[in-house]
Amino acid sequence: MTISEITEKILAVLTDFHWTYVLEFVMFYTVIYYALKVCWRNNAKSVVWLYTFGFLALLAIALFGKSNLGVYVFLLVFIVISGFLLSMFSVEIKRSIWYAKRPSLQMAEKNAPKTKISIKEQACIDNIVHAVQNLSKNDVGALIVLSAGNLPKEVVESGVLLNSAISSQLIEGIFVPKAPLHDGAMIVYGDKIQAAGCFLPLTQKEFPKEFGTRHRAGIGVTEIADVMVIIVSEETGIISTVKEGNITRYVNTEGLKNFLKEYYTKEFGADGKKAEGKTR
Amino acid sequence: MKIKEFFKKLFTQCIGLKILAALLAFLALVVVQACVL
Repeated sequence: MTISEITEKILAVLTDFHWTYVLEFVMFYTVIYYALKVCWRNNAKSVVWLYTFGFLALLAIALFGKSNLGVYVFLLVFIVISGFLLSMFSVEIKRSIWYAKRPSLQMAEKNAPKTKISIKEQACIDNIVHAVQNLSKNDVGALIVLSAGNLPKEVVESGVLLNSAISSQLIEGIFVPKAPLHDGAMIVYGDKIQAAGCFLPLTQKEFPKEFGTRHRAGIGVTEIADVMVIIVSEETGIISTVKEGNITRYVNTEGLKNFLKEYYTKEFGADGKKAEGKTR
Repeated sequence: MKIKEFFKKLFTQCIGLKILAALLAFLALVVVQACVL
């Protein structure tokens, strides 16, 4: 095609407007925007520029190519590359969807220090904090997942179902070395210990070498589900918390209490409504 | 330097990405229609 022919065709498209163009634009925009946003947010800025230049190059091929085949190649490559980028960051997309789906969670997070915790929830927090402190003091490793009832069935059923009330003695007992369930994760859901000895997926991201399997499992589970995790290191007794794939080390008692308060505010709601009977 | 900062701010707030995505989407629409017509 010559430049005059191209200009003619582009002008024809612009003047001969059809309502389906709006739909087409919206579809293109949505895919391109999410692909670019996901790369930009995940520190892959060079991919953004590569995607843009690749996109423009394909458009040029489609426009100046000898046959109409170029446009089909452009559409095919566009779908494949965009799909690849979106699947590469699927964990991050999942997390942003959970966050967008739960505006109450965003409000609860903002209001977390102000919201009230009921007596029963406070008892759960005190029991967990007491147990974690004791485990840390004695250098006993522990992995506690604070679930929102959204863990995959396979994870929960990989351990032993307990459905028991939360008590510091029980938590400490589970993690005693040589106890049958000490090696897996304990899952807390609301005011119940749902299961213990569960196997969690390990994160594949780069972390310092001092992070062992327990830490990797704790981070890994927050990548597949919207849960919070408490980890006690077996070697050092350091208490860590994990949320949305981000680990915070050297957490003190106050920090741990605030972390648990945030969980209970999120799980039980700002109005203190119980999540009982939601266990699956 | 100011232009660089302006673009940095534009992209960190995601407005730049929206503009870029809209531009690319518009180009794609025009090219696809022009080639198909």
